[in-house]
Amino acid sequence: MDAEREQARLRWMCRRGMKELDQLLLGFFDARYATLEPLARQRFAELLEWQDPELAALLFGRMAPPDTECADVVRQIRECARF
Amino acid sequence: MWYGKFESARVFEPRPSRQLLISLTLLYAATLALVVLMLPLWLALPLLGLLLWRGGRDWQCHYGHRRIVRLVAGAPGRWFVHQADGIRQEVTVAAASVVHSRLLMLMLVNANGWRGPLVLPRDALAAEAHRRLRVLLWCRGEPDTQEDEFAGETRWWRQFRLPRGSAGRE
Repeated sequence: MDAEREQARLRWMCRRGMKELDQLLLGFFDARYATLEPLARQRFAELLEWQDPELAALLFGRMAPPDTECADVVRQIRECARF
Repeated sequence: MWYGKFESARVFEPRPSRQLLISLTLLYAATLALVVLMLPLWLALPLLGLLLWRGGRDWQCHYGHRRIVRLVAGAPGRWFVHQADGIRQEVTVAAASVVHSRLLMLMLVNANGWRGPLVLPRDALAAEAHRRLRVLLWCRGEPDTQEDEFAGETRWWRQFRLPRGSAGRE
């Protein structure tokens, strides 16, 4: 039950002011979140705490990810957006 | 279809843009006026001819039979365009392309080296399709070709270019 509530919370957090991010994050959440490892889930949840401009810069390649786990999640999100 | 093997191909169907028409008309009118008013006749006449030829070419590309009526994103790095006259070809998107929330300017290069711009202001696509194409271009990482014609460009301009970075490279 808690897991479901957490997923619903994260999905809600995927809804952003910037519609490009909306599309990217919601698409990724619906398609891939269930298959993520616990560590990747945690990193994804941390990413959702970021402000829109920083998150956009990170996801659209204008800013380097802070660490390798974050880079891996970013890579998966971008891959998901491609197809 | 000819690109049908890409199950998840993404299709964008640009429509003739009123914003682009107004901008190009103003640009050409201003240039023509400058040429006529500022230059001597012997220089103005050939320039006028050149401008009119170029204007006609632009018209064909954006509103005439060479207009791109469909852009298909296939597998990463593969794009396909359909022209209004029925010609279809595979192209790549060059590094000189510009992606901005109000304007997409894709520099397309085909297998023969032909280069042509696809200019998509906001009114050339539905808002959702414009956004989808922007996200797709941003997430594709490095451009499909490596040339960098604007190496000396300012930082302000560079922010609108397609992003580079290992995260997006296949």
